[in-house]
Amino acid sequence: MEQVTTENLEPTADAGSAQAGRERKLPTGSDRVYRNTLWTVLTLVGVIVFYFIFVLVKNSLPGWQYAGWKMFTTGTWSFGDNKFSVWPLVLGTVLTTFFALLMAVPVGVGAALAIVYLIPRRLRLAVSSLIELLAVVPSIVYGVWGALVMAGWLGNKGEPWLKSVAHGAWPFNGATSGYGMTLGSIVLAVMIMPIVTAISRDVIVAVPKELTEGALSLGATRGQVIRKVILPSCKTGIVGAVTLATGRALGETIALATVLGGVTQMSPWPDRAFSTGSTLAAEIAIDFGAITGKAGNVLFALSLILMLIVGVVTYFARSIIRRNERQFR
Amino acid sequence: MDTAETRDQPTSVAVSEPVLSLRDVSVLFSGKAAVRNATFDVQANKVTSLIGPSGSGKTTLLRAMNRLHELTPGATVTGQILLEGEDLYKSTVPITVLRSRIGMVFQRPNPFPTMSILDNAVAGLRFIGVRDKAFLAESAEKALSEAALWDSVKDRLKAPAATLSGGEQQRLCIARAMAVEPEVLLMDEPTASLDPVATQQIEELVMSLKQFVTIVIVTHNMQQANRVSDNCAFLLMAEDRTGELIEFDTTEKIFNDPKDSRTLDYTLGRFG
Amino acid sequence: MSTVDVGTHDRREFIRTTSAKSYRRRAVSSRIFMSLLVLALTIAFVPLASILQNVVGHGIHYLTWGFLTTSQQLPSITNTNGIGGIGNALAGTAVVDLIAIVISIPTAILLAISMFELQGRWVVAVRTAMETFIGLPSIVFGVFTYVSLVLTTHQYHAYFGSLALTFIMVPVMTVNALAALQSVPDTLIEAGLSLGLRPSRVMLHIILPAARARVFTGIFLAFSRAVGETAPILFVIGASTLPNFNPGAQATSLPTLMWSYLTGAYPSQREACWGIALVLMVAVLFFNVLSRVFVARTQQS
Repeated sequence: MEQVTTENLEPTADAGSAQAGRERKLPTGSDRVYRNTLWTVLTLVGVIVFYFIFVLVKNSLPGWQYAGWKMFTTGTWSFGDNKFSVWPLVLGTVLTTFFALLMAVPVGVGAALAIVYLIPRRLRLAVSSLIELLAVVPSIVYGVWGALVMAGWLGNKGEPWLKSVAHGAWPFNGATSGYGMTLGSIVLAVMIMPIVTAISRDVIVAVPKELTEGALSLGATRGQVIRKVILPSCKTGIVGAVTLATGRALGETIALATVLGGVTQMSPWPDRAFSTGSTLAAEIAIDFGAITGKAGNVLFALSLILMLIVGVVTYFARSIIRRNERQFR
Repeated sequence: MDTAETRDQPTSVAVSEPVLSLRDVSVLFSGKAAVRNATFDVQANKVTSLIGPSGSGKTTLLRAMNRLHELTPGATVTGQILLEGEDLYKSTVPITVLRSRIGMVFQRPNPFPTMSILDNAVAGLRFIGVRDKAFLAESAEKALSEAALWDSVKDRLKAPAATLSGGEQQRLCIARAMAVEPEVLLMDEPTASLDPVATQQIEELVMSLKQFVTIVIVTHNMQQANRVSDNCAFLLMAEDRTGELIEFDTTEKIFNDPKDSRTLDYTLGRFG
Repeated sequence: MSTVDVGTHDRREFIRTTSAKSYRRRAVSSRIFMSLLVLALTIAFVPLASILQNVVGHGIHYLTWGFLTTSQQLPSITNTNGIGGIGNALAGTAVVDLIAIVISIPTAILLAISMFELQGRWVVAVRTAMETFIGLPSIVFGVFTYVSLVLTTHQYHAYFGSLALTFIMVPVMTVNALAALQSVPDTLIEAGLSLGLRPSRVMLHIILPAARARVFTGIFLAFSRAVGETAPILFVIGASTLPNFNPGAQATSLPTLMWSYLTGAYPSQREACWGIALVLMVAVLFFNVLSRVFVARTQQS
């Protein structure tokens, strides 16, 4: 799943709102060819969408059957050994996403605030565009950067330093290889940060100037204005941004597949900061090569789970963002 | 304490201590003057109105009085604005402290939307660092009473400020500004977005507030200025699109016996 | 339990003193906060700088005509650097992506028009589906294409990849095109209708031209995204070490080549990833910038 920037997030008006102003519907009499063509296209696409869902569900059923309840009751995932517990994958997904958010959200919101309040207005577009450039970088390039640059740095410098600072206490214990959960979280954080920044920036800019002026004229400092007036007003929008970023992080496949180390060796359980591991999405990509046979259907089951999770999260993100846009009207 | 006779006054006004004095004040945006060479005194506990057609620089001048132009890049203010004798722009006192002595009410009511009525009222005090809960509660009651809002909100202080009507929100903003006990209250067309009933309430409020603070009000509604203010400054945009102070005098004189013919034309409604 | 006298003058004094005393603390706190913001912005730039520096730094010396035109080779023990070029991958990318675009653009535009003109729950459903698809992990579309096409035909074709990419492109294009159509002022539309034009003519001659810029934004945006995608096409297009412009044959594309090189056995392959990355990023950036140009055009009008 690749870039999602504000541009392809345009919340289209609810069916009816823009058209209500126009009043006209296509009268059944006129321009029948036009109308029929459009309905055909619409129906076709709808059918394809249904077929899409149907295929995924249908092909995952054998997977459910094959792996059975063990998917939820056992604890090990090892594709080659026919061990199919989802939990290590779920844990990997949740952990990497969580820590990525932990890093990306403060940096993203902070950067957005800096862009709006500290960068001169004429430079604003340039600076924002630069940050959004990060969202344009393809996943595979992130994979290359993560594997060839960050992994080495983390393995040689970053992780040992963390380990020494924590005196070897959990979770910063054990072998450090550069690959694994930490690297995955960092790469993910870099990937989702531009989403947070871009949307937060739009939300922050939309705060009416009078609120800032009102607070300042009461004698507030700039820090107080931002913390006590601006940010609370932006809460909804920022939550929307974070939700969207979450959806993106949950579904990231290629970049994580190359940096989590799951290809080489998979810890039974990602229990340390330096563990290798895998996520739902990455695992599908990694094991896809060996997809023949019944075990392959388990991957389809995973796809279904992944799709459901991300679909739901993204849906909520959009409705939050849409609701926020109405706030200042 | 000087009396009027010992001061070099540009025009003759009734005896009263000036709280705010403008001396040759100009405001420029990127080098182009929006208003120039304004000189007048704002007397204590009186309402001074700034009137004139659009573009005459009234709001620009008002916003210079609490240094709000510092938010705008490229804006410069020349001349002197003295708050009780001390130059506002050259003061060693930090701007945040100065700003709490000069309150402002804006054209559109701007209560903080995420805060309750009570929190809005004491927001200024909280910004300044007042923590004493009892003091805050007292201040809230005092300020809201001064703004003639206490009785209608005292039972719902925790309700979000957005649940108030437009007129009530504006009064909340007035209360919020009053709570920090400023010496001067600047009002920028405070009734412009309100209905006639709310407008009248605010006008009555302004007249009752002057016992507590000195008020400078910008209004494009000259009847309002006539009703509400004691002294009046008439500004007009000159041919080079810069606002100038044409005349400053008591309201009575401005509307009944002005010195400048342009003032007369304006008050007679010959141009808007 | 207020310790302050109720008299107004004392209140004012209290407020002034509190204000003066707390000023230093507030000023310092504000300054620290603003510094944190600057820190955040700086941190935000570090990975960008690192990525750009690495991609350009390591990749630039791969930008030779030879590299771009010759096909990949497998290094051997005796020739560990013999990776050849990316000619086959460039050809593959071109084929897969061009077919995808040819299918996607008309589909997306027609779909957007239909969502614009028609009403009903079906319209809402499809529109929601499009919006949801934008956020789905692209591997899901790869899985779908694999299951429905590869498993049934037991073959790999380049155009399978194109079909997978349309799932990625069409939603983005459609959503943007729909927004573009909706942003056309009603007055313009009504003027056309009142002239007696049929709705299809109004669409063709009035609405579409007016919405043109925004539609192009969506198209270029979708394309810039699709060019960089790996997961959806990885398992459906097979591989080809020869440059092949036949959509029916298998193909290698730039992202899939990177994927296999990244886990390749030879360091020269891993190193070459930077060169491929540079080429890929140039293409992606090109279309992304193009889409922004059209965003600017939209805002001008």
